[in-house]
Amino acid sequence: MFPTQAGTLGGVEGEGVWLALGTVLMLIGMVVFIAKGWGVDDPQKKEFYIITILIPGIAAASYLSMFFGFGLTEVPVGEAYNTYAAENGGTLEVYWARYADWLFTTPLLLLDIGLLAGASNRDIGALVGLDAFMIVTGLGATLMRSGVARYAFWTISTIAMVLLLYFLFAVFSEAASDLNEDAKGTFNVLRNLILVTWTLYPILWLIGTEGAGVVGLYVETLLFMVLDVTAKVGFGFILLSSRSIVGDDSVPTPSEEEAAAD
Amino acid sequence: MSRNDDDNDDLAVYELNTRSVVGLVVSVAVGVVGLFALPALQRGFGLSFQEAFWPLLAVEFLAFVGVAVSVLRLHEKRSFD
Repeated sequence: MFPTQAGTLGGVEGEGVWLALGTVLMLIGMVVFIAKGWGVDDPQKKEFYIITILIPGIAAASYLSMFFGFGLTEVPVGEAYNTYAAENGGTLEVYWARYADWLFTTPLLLLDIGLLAGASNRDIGALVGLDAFMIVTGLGATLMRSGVARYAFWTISTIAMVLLLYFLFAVFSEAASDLNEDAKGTFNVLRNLILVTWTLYPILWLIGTEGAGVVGLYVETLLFMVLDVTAKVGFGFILLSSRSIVGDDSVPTPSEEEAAAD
Repeated sequence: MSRNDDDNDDLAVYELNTRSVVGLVVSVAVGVVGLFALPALQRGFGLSFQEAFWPLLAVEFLAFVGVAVSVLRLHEKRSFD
């Protein structure tokens, strides 16, 4: 028997609608990426395809888990925490699966853009470590019972995110400076997409039910779904539409000396 | 590098690393199952949410590491020596 939550298979209601839609959109993204990558032989291109296919694939599983209530728990914070907690007997409904999904998929996004930029394994590893710290402290903010502890962890997580985005902007951009024009353009778009979408997550946490409770669970779930689909499926579409990934222009053309030698 | 080495390099081919394929499949399976496993872990072992959740989260991150390592080692360059 499935754990209880707002959405059920028979009659989806509440935020379950957005969780179901998120599952479908992630699955569509995954299937489209599989179709685009079908028959690709180049080992380096295969790496991009596999990583980019897995990102919405894992996210789809996460959304399905939340839809069925597996990825949901309750955190007692007291009625004084915010209006949402006051209406729910002092408890918050928290979708923990979101964080487990992010702990898996955000490093994959960084791996994707790191490989595109040609960043070193050390730099990618450092960014992934910072990313894991950001997600885990964000989880701390969500699971804490004391309001002060929740906002303290949110602050730590947000500082980690600012450092991560700075590192992404500074170090990865420098690594990408040697790329050809098309790959550099794709890198810039993806980097800016990450900068914008990732910045919105802590803001949404702050105004959502886990923070100040300005917006309810229904709107919060919708906005998280839109952000997730943009940051994952949108990211994948841009990356896999790049000529440097799907085209043949990444194959180095022989220099005049090499051509003459032949 | 000798001319012979150049020839060998030209003849190098990428082979699928079977261990990485297995690692990739197992890591993805662990990651996906983990997203659904928490209620069963709590019921099966009589654990509280926090007791079941943090180990599960560590497993999710290990699953990512497994995916990353497997993808980066998916193809091995083999040359005809």
